Amino acid sequence: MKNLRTWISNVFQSEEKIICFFIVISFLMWMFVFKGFLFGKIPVASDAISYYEHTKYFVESLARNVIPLWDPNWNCGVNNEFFLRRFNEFNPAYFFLILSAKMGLPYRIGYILFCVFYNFLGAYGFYLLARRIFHYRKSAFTAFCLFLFSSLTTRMFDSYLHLMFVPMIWFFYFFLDIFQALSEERQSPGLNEDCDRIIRDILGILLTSMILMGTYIPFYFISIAISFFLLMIIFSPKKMLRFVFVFGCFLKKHKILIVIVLVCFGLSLLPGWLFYKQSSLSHFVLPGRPSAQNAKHIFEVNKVAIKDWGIMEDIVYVQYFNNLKRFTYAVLYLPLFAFIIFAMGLFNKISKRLLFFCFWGMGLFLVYFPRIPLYDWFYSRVFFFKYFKNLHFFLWIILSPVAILFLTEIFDQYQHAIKKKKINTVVYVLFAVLVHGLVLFVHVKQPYNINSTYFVIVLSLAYFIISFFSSQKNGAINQKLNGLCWVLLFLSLVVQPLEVFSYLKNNIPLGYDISKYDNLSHDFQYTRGRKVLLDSLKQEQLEIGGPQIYYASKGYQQLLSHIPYPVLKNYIYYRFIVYDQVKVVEKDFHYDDLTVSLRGNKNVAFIQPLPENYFSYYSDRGVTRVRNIQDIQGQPEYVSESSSSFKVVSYDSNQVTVHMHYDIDKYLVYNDSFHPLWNAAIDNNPVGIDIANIAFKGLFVPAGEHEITFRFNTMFQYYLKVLFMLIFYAVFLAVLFYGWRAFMNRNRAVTAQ
Amino acid sequence: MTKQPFKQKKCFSGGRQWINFVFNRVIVLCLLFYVISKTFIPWDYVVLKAKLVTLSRLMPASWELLVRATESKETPEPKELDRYVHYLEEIIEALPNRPDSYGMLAYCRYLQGQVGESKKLYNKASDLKPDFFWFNYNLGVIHFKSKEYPAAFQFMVKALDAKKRETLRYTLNSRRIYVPFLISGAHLSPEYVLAQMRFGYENDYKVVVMSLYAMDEISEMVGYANSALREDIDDYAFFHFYLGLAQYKVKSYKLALQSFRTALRYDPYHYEALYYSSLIMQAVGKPQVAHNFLEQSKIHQQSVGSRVEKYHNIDLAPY
Repeated sequence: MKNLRTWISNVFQSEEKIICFFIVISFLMWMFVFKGFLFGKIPVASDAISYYEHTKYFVESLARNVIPLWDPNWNCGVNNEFFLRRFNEFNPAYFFLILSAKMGLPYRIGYILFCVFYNFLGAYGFYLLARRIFHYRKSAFTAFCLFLFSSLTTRMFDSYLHLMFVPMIWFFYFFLDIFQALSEERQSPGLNEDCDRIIRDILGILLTSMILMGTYIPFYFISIAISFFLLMIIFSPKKMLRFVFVFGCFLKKHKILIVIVLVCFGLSLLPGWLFYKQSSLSHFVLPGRPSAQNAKHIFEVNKVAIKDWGIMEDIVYVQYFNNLKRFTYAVLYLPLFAFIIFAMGLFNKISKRLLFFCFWGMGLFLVYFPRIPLYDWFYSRVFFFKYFKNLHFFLWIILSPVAILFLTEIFDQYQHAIKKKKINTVVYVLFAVLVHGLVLFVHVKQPYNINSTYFVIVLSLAYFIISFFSSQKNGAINQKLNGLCWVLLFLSLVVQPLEVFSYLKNNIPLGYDISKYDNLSHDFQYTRGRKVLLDSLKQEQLEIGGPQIYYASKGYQQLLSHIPYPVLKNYIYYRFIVYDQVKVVEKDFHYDDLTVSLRGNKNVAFIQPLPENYFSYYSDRGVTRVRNIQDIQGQPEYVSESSSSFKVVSYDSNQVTVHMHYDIDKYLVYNDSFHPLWNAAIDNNPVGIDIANIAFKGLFVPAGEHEITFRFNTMFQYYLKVLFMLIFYAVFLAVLFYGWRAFMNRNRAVTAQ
Repeated sequence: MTKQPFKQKKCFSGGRQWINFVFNRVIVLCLLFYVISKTFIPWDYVVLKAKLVTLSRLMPASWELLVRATESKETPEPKELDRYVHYLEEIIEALPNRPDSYGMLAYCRYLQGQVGESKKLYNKASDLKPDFFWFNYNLGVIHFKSKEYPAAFQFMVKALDAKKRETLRYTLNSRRIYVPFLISGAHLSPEYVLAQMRFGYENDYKVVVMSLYAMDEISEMVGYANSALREDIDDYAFFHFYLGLAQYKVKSYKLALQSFRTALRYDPYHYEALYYSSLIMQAVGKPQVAHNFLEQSKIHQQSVGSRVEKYHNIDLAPY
């Protein structure tokens, strides 16, 4: 007990130690309240499921030393680049996941822990950012708690927004750090002692922007960054000029660094740009994404769909959860203490920072508010506006953090006024009591209330009053009262959120669970799903349509639209089918013929040969070309296991090699979606791939023993991926290295003083 | 003369300080933004649109739980119904003149055991749409189950006056409430809704007859029973049984026996009809026949149970 008391008094002797202590306690409390999620008892929901699935597939493939460029498990096979771009596979943070997969940790738990620690990294970055902006440590800590205990951090369980806002927070931190270092008047160009810190910041900006430019739709970040820099120029023109000048001098002395930075940044844009170019070739469809009229690109979104749910709708949505016991996913929530700060600050002076945050937030809100003409103006003139399907994301990734910073600035002003004793004691106390009384009155009038609300009001009032008396006129701090203030501040910030978050598990939608990717095997399976007994189905059961798809190959979507789903499901049960006859798909093609053929297990593949293969199909080949499906004889060979005539020799996400030995020519259909980037070779001789049965891959195999390889993408493109990964990890290690050096330099400087 | 310019300067700088003191405040900034946004943004339109879109999002993904509760007669946990209650309450707040929201909320409240609240909501729904069959029907059932027979009779008669076509039209146009519910149960078709209404009318007549019998209004009860038979309402056994009861009460034993026999023709296991037949036989001095009827009634009572208890087991409809 004595040791504990000594330890506690030791902690409360310095503000740095107090903050460390409370940050750790905050993290532990957060993890405690969400323990059901952390131990995998409550599954993730909504968009988070898809990100879980694809990250799992990527990480497990990487653990097998394969970068998965193709996903054969998604709607009979799709180009995996679509999913990789959504979460940016080069983010060094995924190393944690790869490591945990290799160590055998259940993926579900590893993934949730990864998301949690990634969010904590974001929260800590937000704390550091606030330290850069505000004078007082209490203000930075307040910003940290408001961020951690708002509903921003709960979005990891139903969305992927943390993949956007965490790197963005660090981007702004590194930028502000270097801006403050270089724009101060006392600094002369070519500073030597802070060189490591500046290099760390430059590399930090580089790493975070590389991650952001390759994650999801980078235009969210680009528009936020542009608005930020514009406002910086307006609000601090002299400082910006000085920064540019000093930074330019620094770069002149570090030319190699700038070349490396520019090259790395340029390379980081390549994956997104390549994917953008590939996707304009319309090899895949996104039926769930409502396309714009006269869209030039598949990612352009219909304006009506954009307007359907935006920032305003997300704000209005909150009012349906005034009863905090109903708190659930995607409901914007800030701790009550935030509103108390706002009420206390209504009569504060407007500072430059307050104006900055205000204009930044309002500016973004007005630009991305789709129900006013300004948005229509931008939509028609700025190309990337057409790619924003989810404008409400701005509310989560920037407007909420900016609101937190706005409130923290008000809080910081109070800390300053209290410290400098600029307020009359009686007026201050009366005002604090009045504000808290009003807040209490408003809450008592509400039909729904939770108990912690009242505790927070009392704790907050105690904090504001005691903090006033903890600082003395001569500038000294009463240590005991200061320690009590920290405790009161911490409790005011966390008490209500802990209760609110505890209700989340009661209100999440029922029936969500992790999907088939949990039981995915990376080894080759000859069959897929479960066979359907077509004969036992009634006619109306045969007519049912397929599931709604979000992303698939064009051919697969066409099959889903025209072939009864049970028939299709039955057909794709087999990954390989060997035919003796083919029918060329010509202008008179009807899907009814294909349906009859698939349903009747007819020994004919419907092929659309590539133009260069066209004439060869009219020459004599062992495989018969039929014109009429009534002429078809026998059934094809459905490959359900290895045999002497057919065996899969090797398989991974990007390639499959089969060994075939038949006495006559055959036509092999691989029931995996066709894509022009697939290549095939028979005994290492390249051959063309046909589109078989509308959506899949097919090719002629001559009689005899052969090895047929299907490979997605070229080796050059594969090793480009490896190179990108190395670059990202190298930059990350460089940030850590220079960060460590800057830390050691600072410690040496402090010791020397 | 040198003092005047000095005085004017002092007033001017004091005024500037005062303006700076008053207007350089956060609250003024908030008010300024409020005024600007009110001027340039059509808030009423925007908020209304946002509310409607939000309500669509709040709609439960599936009404399966409620469908199961209706079809299997299992009462779900009150907490499980909370999400439907929440959604319906929000619709009522946003669109306070929607009878279907009141009706469905009343149904959910009834399943949660809040009978008083349910009655209030059904009354509100009925006031908003008096020509919708189900609101008055459900009110009648609630009162009947609480043995409040005069009220049950009153509401059931009101329900009988409702327009069938209007009920069908309103049900199939209720895109936020009834249609998603019917879709969840795979019942979205006019034929199903009409079949449900026929069943509702049958129960309606039954409750009217039983209520009037309980109130001892025999002649009126006979009138409604005959109306039901004329309208070709199913379950002839029921109506003939109660006609028999009415005739038994006034000691028209011959007519009563005839009615009970007709009831038994449609439902040979009707233990109460057999029982009353035995009482009549006893009264007319045929003890042996009476004994036979009594023995048969005991057998059917043990094997299939009481029909009258079954008649009283009427549930609310999910409207």
